[in-house]
Formats: sequence, structure tokens, C-alpha cells
Amino acid sequence: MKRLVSMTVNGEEIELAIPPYRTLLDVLRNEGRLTGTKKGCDVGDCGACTVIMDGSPVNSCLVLGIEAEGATIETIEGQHAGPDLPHLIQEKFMDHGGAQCGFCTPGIIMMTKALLKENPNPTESEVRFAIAGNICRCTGYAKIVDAVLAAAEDLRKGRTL
Amino acid sequence: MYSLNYHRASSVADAVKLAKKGDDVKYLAGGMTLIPAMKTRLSAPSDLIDLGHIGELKGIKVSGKNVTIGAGTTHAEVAANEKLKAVCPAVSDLAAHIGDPAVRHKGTIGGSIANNDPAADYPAALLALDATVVTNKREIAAAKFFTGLFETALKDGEIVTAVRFTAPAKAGYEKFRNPASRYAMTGVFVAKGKANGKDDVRVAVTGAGENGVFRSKEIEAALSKKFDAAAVEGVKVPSKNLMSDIHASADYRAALVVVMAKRATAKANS
Amino acid sequence: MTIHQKPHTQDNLEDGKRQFSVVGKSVRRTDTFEKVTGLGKYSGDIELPGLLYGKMKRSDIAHALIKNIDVSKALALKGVKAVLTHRDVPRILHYGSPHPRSASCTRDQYILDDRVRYWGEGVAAVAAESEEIAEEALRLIHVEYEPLPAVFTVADALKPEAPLIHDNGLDKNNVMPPVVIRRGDVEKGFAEADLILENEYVLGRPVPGYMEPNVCACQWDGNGKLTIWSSTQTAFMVRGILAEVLGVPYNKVRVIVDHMGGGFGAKQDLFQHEFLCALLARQTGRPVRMEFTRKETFLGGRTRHSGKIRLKQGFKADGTITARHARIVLDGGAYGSHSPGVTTVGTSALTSLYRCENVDLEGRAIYTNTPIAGAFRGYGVVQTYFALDLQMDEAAERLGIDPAELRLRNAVRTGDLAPSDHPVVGHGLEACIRRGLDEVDWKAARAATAAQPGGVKRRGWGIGCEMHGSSAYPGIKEQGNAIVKMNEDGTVTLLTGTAGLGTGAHTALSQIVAEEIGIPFSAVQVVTGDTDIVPWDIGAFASHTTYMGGRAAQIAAAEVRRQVLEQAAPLLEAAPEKLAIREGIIHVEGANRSISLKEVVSPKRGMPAAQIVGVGTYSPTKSYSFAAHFAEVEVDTETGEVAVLQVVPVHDLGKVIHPIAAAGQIEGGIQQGIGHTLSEDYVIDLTNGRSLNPSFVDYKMPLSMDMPPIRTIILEAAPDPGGPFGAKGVGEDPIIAIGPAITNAIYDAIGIRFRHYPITPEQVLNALRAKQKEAA
Repeated sequence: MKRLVSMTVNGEEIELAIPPYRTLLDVLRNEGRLTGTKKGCDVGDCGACTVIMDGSPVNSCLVLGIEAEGATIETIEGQHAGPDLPHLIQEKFMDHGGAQCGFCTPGIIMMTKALLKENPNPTESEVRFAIAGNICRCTGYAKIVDAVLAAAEDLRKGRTL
Repeated sequence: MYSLNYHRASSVADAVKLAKKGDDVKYLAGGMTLIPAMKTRLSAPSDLIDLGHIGELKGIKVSGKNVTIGAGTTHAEVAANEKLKAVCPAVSDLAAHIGDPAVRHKGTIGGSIANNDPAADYPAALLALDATVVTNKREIAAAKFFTGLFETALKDGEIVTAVRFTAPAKAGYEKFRNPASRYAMTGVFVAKGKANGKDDVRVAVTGAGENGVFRSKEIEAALSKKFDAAAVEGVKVPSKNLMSDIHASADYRAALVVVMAKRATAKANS
Repeated sequence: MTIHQKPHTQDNLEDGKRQFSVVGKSVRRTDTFEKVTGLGKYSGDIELPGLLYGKMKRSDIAHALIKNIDVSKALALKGVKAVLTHRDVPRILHYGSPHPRSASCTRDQYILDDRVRYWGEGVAAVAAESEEIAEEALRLIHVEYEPLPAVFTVADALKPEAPLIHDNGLDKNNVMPPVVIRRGDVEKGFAEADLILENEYVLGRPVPGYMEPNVCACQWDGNGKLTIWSSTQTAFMVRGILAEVLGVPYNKVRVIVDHMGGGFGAKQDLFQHEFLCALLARQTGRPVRMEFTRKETFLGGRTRHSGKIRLKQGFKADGTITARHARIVLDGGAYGSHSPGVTTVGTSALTSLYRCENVDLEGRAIYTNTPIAGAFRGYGVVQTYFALDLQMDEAAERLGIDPAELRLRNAVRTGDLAPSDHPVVGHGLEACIRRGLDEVDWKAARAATAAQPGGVKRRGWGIGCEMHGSSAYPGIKEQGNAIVKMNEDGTVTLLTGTAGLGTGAHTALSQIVAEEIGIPFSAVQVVTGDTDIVPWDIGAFASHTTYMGGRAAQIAAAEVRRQVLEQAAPLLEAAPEKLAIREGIIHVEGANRSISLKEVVSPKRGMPAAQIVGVGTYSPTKSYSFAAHFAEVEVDTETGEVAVLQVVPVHDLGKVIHPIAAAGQIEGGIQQGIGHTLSEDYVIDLTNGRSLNPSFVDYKMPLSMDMPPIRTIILEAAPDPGGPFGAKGVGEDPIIAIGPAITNAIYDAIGIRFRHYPITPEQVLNALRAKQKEAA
């Protein structure tokens, strides 16, 4: 029943035996042992499971693991460089209070990365539009928007994603 | 989702061939609706045929005013296409406001129209643009394609391969978003094109009809006299055959049809 | 070594001149790196070898007896390891919310009963090798119901012929005896009034909508000890009630809560799955995880109490309130949960905020066959202050007084009796209102909205106020505890039992400890969330974590400081009172002698370091935080849509420990408040009790594009002698005042008074049309 699927996750090529009905989200969390990607609704309504697949943000709960055969996946675990070495976006979320309970945070950070890759100079309303599918129930979004704009500002100063 | 065979099709012909093998076969496009439906067992196919890797289904061709969008083109690709933006910005704008970025990067125009969700945006565009739906077997006029809630003229095994339309002189789309889902609680696409050499105004409404997308004769009549937002003011749209649910009554949707038509027209003229 | 609660004197307050080195600064949160990197472990992330997946079968009928449950097909399914029904689990009546022995809860639940009382109640549970198999097994369980008459509204539940949902000795489905508060002479007050207003306010049914669905994992060891990882605000309460119902001693239940994805009050309850998961794990001898789907967090979660409030007040021409009479009826849903607490707190809140000597208040909670109403941020006060602050606005107009001015004239002030029967400290409310008036230039803003010409979009400004207690006293006599240990290198370990549901409380507590001892923030490590390790804690709720847990941590830290100075004194040849610790260096005040803290506490040749430990225990009474919210809205008169353009919340917190975290609480509360005011309502089919919108697609929460800019202002106007450095709570507060501010702003924009929430675009449009008709 299980199928062997290979994909590149956070730069590492992995091969996993997975049931074909299992979503990429469940595959990452179970077989991939990467629990940083969160399951908030499992039906594509909340964005907590956002990962970057072949360069584009997707809800990993709406993608079958087997669809990711041959794909390149970026998850939250692959963003920081080491202990105490956060990614630029992560650093801004920490400093601006962009994470409260933190459950939506990995998804929003991945969506932010996708946004800033496409548009390194977003306006506030472009930021709000980009994260419209990511539900945060703690922050009122103010500090998330602050964090994203601060990351963009640092990009303009020459830092990279 | 308890047992399932997955096939990745390499071409439309391959997909059709694969579809003949299983008991209960479903094509997988973006998966935005099918995968949640499988989780809740609303859909329990024995076999899934993934159309996501078929090159011939992808891409947008614009030649003069003639537009062809491959069925496997994502909403994000439709939104970003500069040639399309130049001839029919209303469709680009519509695509740019479907769902959220994650949906736009995975969901496809073919998947959206084949699913025919009554609150989806594309059906309104296709109907108002008098578009043609191209399948592996035939060409179907949009007016004949959308047949009811989640229902289309597609036959078993038939695959949408492209959508074709002629860009109108003017077009605009406006929707009243359901705040939670971003789906259109009522969305109106207005287009002023030509038919048989004459001006042809078509107005299609999504998110409001009990039987899915439909054309509003009342608004069309008003806009045919003068294609101007003010012409829509005061038009009465009957609430008969409009949806009533926990989000809005049919009367409210009827009111929204008029307001959205007015605003879509203003956009078309801007 | 244990220092018990310090008396309430002013010496805990700062004179305003003290320079703080850690408190008041937005240091990087202790838990934030793990959150932003995905490395933090939430209860659903725990990896356990041999894990089984548990799932619950839920009823598809609202009120029925279970005639029979056939689980044979489910048991026969390959990969299914256990199935439990009401026949297989201990039948012990327990509290829905684990604040037993307190006045705020009621005992009316079984793990599984032979009767269901709401649509979606759990009737059976399975454990299987995979989630998919467990789900399949649920479909194979056949339940035979004998339907019972059901009631889905309070009005129906109160009818003489209504079925009794619980046999608790009270008539007419009352969850509890009514809460009655009478002061002064209401009849006399109304007789003296120049204006009497009486209105009914109708309250919707919002849900907390935390992002992390309820989840727990259970594992029993060879010695019969249970470890449960659970997403709960009340780990020790979960331990107690689980132990009692499972029949094991407390020290054989270990509850672990590491990271938690929100709770907003609702995760104070003990849920069916927590018992069932433990039982499934015990029966199978393997670890089991049970995780709600999003739909289940609606069906089996907790809602805010919907209901009706009839409020009547008398006013003198100068705005003085002469009498207040209120009848509050809340829908408790199928089980008591927090109904008694919510009703008590909400009802008693009406004694205050705006001064009134003559009050006659009665609050009741009623059982219905609908989903359980529980604790949710704002805890009854959201409801009652919505009514109060809407009526204040109406009174202001009728009396010809500016609405903010009317509030100022009546604002509760120092020495007044608070709802908890304690004297109010300071003029926090007045300070908030005045600061906000300046900030938004209220007079000019209101003049501008009054002068706006006709048009499709109309703007309005509104004000709403609130006060909310930090701590649940007098409903519960609470206690906060902390242990602070000095390590041999001069670093400190803080042990606290309070749950980290996302607020940043652990960081605030660490700041308080660093400040109190005089060491850098980085020298404090905080250990949390393991009932085997940390000191007992009542749970994270009622805006009390920083206030009470923080004070306990401060007391423990002060004890550590005392011991350190005692050891340092001979080395520095000075009396301990002459010593001060700054940045980890111990100085002799007024002399040029110092020594590092590390040097004092580190092992020396032939002398291992002595352990320095401080234990802090603190039982607070209550303090009140205050806020005034100012909101600007824009009403689209063609669609009825209300957009909130900006919010200026002004909060008095006594002393702010971590400004960004405090502001984050305020902004998040406003988001939820905008939600319940304008769009959020969990809808129940009144023909059968089924939930109609148990999903994020159909339950409408404000998202990034719906949220306005928020200019948060935090005041330290009325420090509380009970809190650490004068600090008070902030968690509950911000969700209360925003609703009235928006509703009053809508009136300012279009001249229509709504007396319910949520106020939907359709209702606004209908009201606008009705008004037009009336005018014509």
C-alpha cells in the first residue's frame, strides 16, 4: 500500500514510504518528523501548514505527499542557521512580538518568505493581503505586519532572505 | 482517504487512458476542493489521476484579443500574466483576488470551473465573457458548461484542457467577500463586448444563485442602455432563485448584486 | 525559607523614580526562538514510540438516550486496538471545569454517559494504528438512540413543559440558583430620575477560535503512572480530576504542557478526550494521542455564553445614575462548565464601572441542548458591559451630554466598592478616558463625523470602557507559587506552574525575578509546564498570571536576594541592608566596594556552594485594570458593511512589565472583540441543535485585511499594591470595551442603535432601509 516518494526537504533529499492518501502535511509531521509545520484546520482554511513547494507557498494539508514526488519543499525548520541564529524574518518576528502562542507563526513566516521573494518592498496593505489566508488569533496582526515590514526594510539594507 | 491509487499522468491522452482503469476515478488538478472533500469522505475515489504535470495544460496565449488559458494554469499565473493584463485586466484582477496566495499558487482555472463551486469567481468571468470551455473531446460554450451547483456539462472521463475567450472592450469584476472564506458572497462580472458586430453587454453573477452562476437580465438591460455605474442605480433584481443561508438572505444577495454590478461597472470604465 | 504573602502595603509600589533595568523593557521572549523556528514542542508534536491514534465518535442528535452501541465492526477492523463506550469507562460524576471545591463550577458530567445532551457530544472512542484507521473505525460504530425532547433556546428551556436536561434539584433547567445582588434602594433611585432608559440586549455565541485544536497524548509506565501531554491552561487541575476519576493517587499522574497554541479561557475545562485518551492508553498498554479536528473544536469546544440582558437605568439631568436594574439570562449549553462563574462575574460587574448606589441585579444561566458554553476571555463581563456601555451612549444623547463626558462624570474611582467588594485603587478609568480623548482629539473627531455630508460611506467615532479584575477572587481563593534557585555560577532558575498559553507570561515572570534580584534578564532560565517539577499552580486564567504568579516570583526572588546579601555581607564587610545588586554585581551603597554575585555563590576551595532557594507563595485578593477604547468606523451604506478604520485602546496596567507582550494582548483582544461585534457567531440549527458553521470558512473571524491599525496606549496610572511592582492583569480586558466602542461608533455614523451582536452587514442594510422608509 505504501509508496516510496522522494523529495528535497530543506535542502536534503529524502525518501519516505507513505500511504498515497496522506497529505504532505501529515507526511512532514509523521514520516518526516518535522512537526514545526502545524495543523490548524486540515482543510486549507487557516494557513498554519504553509510550506514553500517548488518556490511557491502552498497549504501542505491540500497537497498529497505523493504529489510532492520530485519536489523541493522548504519548511520552517530549514530557515534558521543554527542555535541562536534565526533567519532574518524569524529575527523580526521575535523582536516585534509577531509570535504569541506561536501556532500560526511557522505558516506565516513561510508565507512572508514567499512574499518577500516576490516583492521585497511591500506596502502595509500588500503585507496584509499576502497573509490573508493565515489565521492568527492572538496578535490582531499588528505586530506581525510590523515584523514583516521590518524584515523588508532590512532587505533593502542589503540583508538577504 | 483510507485506500487510494495514485497515478501521475504525463499527457492528456495518458490521463484519459488511466481513467479507464479504476472503479471510481477522479482527476486531481489543484486539489483545493477535492482533497478536503476526500478527507470528509464527501468524495472517496479509488483512483486519483494527477493532472499537475501535464505540460500541454499549462500556459496562457494571447493573440490580439483572443485569449487561451490552459486548464492547468494556476490563479497566480493568470494574475501575473502581462499579456493578459494588457487585453483583459478584469480577469487578471479576478485571479489575483481568489482565496489567498497558497490557493492561488496551487489552484487552477480548469479545476475551479470543473468543480463549479457556486461561490467561485471564474464561472462569473467565463459566463460574462461568453467564453468557450475546451475539453479533450469538444468545445462547450460557458452558458452550456455550468449546469448547476457543483455540476457541469463534463462527461465521465472528460478533461477540461483550456478556456478561450475574446477580450471585451470593457470588463470589471467586484465581489462582496464572505469575510471568513474570501469566497464571493456575491460577485458580479460585467463585460461590454461585441456580438454580431453590435455592442453586447453581459453580466454574470456568482455566489448568489441557487443554481450557481447566472446572468442578470435586469442589470444587462440597464447597462445596455448606458454602460455606466449610474445606470445600475435603482435596478431591482428579484430575489427569487437566490441563495439563503446562514451568511445572507436571498433579499440581501439581491441587493448586493446591484451594488456589486455598479462597482464592477465603475471599475470597467476606469 | 518560604515567605508567605506580604501584607498589602504600599512598599511594593515604586515611587516613580526607580530606574528599572529589566522590567518595562521588551526583552526577547524566552519561548520565542522555539516558536519562530518550529522547534518548540506542542502537545501534538510529542513523538512517542508505538503511538496509537485516538478518535472520538460524536453524537448526531442533540438529546437522546443511547439504546445500544454496536462496536463489533469497528473492533474487527485491522489496526483497531481498543474501543470504549459508556459501558467501559468509570461512571463518576465530575466537574466539567476543574475548579472543584470552588463556587464557580458545577458537577454534572460523566466521561461517557448513556445519554447525550448536545449534538456532537462524545459517545465512544477508538484507538488504532493510524489516524485514518481510527476514522474508519468511527464510521463502523453503530449507535442506536432513543430521541428525547430537546430545547435549543433559553426561552424554550424555561417553559413548564421543557425536558429537564440535568436533574440537579433546581427547577426549569437552571444551572445554579440565580445570582442576586441588591444594594441601596432601586425604587427610590428610579423615582428620583429625570430620565429612565430600559432596553433589551441580545448576545451572540462566539467561540475562542484558538489555533491549536485540543490535543493530548497519554502514556502509562510500568509502575502504573500516567504521563499526559495536554494543551491545557490548568495542568494541576487536570492532574487532580484525572487522578480522582481514574482512581490513582495524584503523584501517579504527571501533566506536561510545553508550548501551547492558545486557549483564551476555554482550555480551562477538562474535555472528554483527556479522560478517554488516558483510558485508551491504559487499556492498550501503548501511548495514545487524541487530537481534535477543527470541526471538533467547534462541536466539542466551548463557546461564550449567548443570552439576553434587560437593563434599566435612571439618570438625573446632570448625568448622575440614580438606579440600575438588570436581568441577565445566559445560555449555558448542555453542561454547566463555567456557567456559575461567568454568571457571577458578569452580573457583579454591573455594580461598577459607572457609579450607582442603587442596584438590583439578577443573573441566571440555563441549560439547553446546545454546545457547552464555558470560559472565554471577558468571562461574562463582555456581555454585561456591552449592555451597560451602549445604554450610557443612549443616555448621553438623551441628556444632551457628550458621551465621553457622561462616562467621566460616572467613572468608578478610588475607594469605590468594586464588584469583588474591595475598594477600587486609583482613578485608572478616568485616566484612560482622558488620555484617549486627547489622543483622538475627540471633540474635533466627533464634530467632523457630525458635519460629514451625505455619501455612500459614513464615518463615526465611538467610545467604550471597561474594568476587569486580575484574579478570580472572590469566586476562587487563588494562590500563585514560584521557586527561584540560585545556581553556583550566579545564574538563576525560576520554576513556575503557570501555563504558557501564548501570552509571554513566562518572560514577564523571568523579568520580575531578574529585576528583583538585580541580575540581567539573560541570567534567568524559566522551567514550566511539568506538574512533577514545578510548584502547584491553579492555572493560567483571569488575568492573574503576571499579577499573582509574578508576585509569587517576586517574593521568591526577594528571598534569594536576601540570602545572597547575607552571604555577601561578611565578604564586603558591610551590613546586608547597605548592599545592592545591580547587573549581577553586589555594591556597598555609598562606598566603592563591590563583588560579583557569582563570586559570592560559587564553590570555593574546600567549600561547595550552599544551595540558595527562595519559595514564593501569594494569595491575592483582587485588583482592577481599566481601559477606554476609541474606535472609528466606516459604514458602507450600500452594502451595510462596517469597516473598523482605527482603534485607540488606552489601558491602565499599573506597571507594565513587557510593553510589547502587553500590547500584543490588547491588540489580540481587540481582534476577537471586533469579531464578536461584527461577524462571529456560532450558529445552531434551532430545529435539531446541529451546528451550522463549525469551520473557519463559515465561522467568520477577522483576518489580516479586516484588522485596522491599532494605536495602543498603556498607562501606569493606578499601580496596585498587590501586584509585582504595581502591575495588574491585561489578558481579559481588551475584548470588553471594543464592542461598545464600535457599536456606538456605528450610531455616530448612521444614527442607528443596534442592541445586539454580531451586527451583520445585512442587518445594517436592513436597518438603513427601514430608517429611510420611516423618513419618507
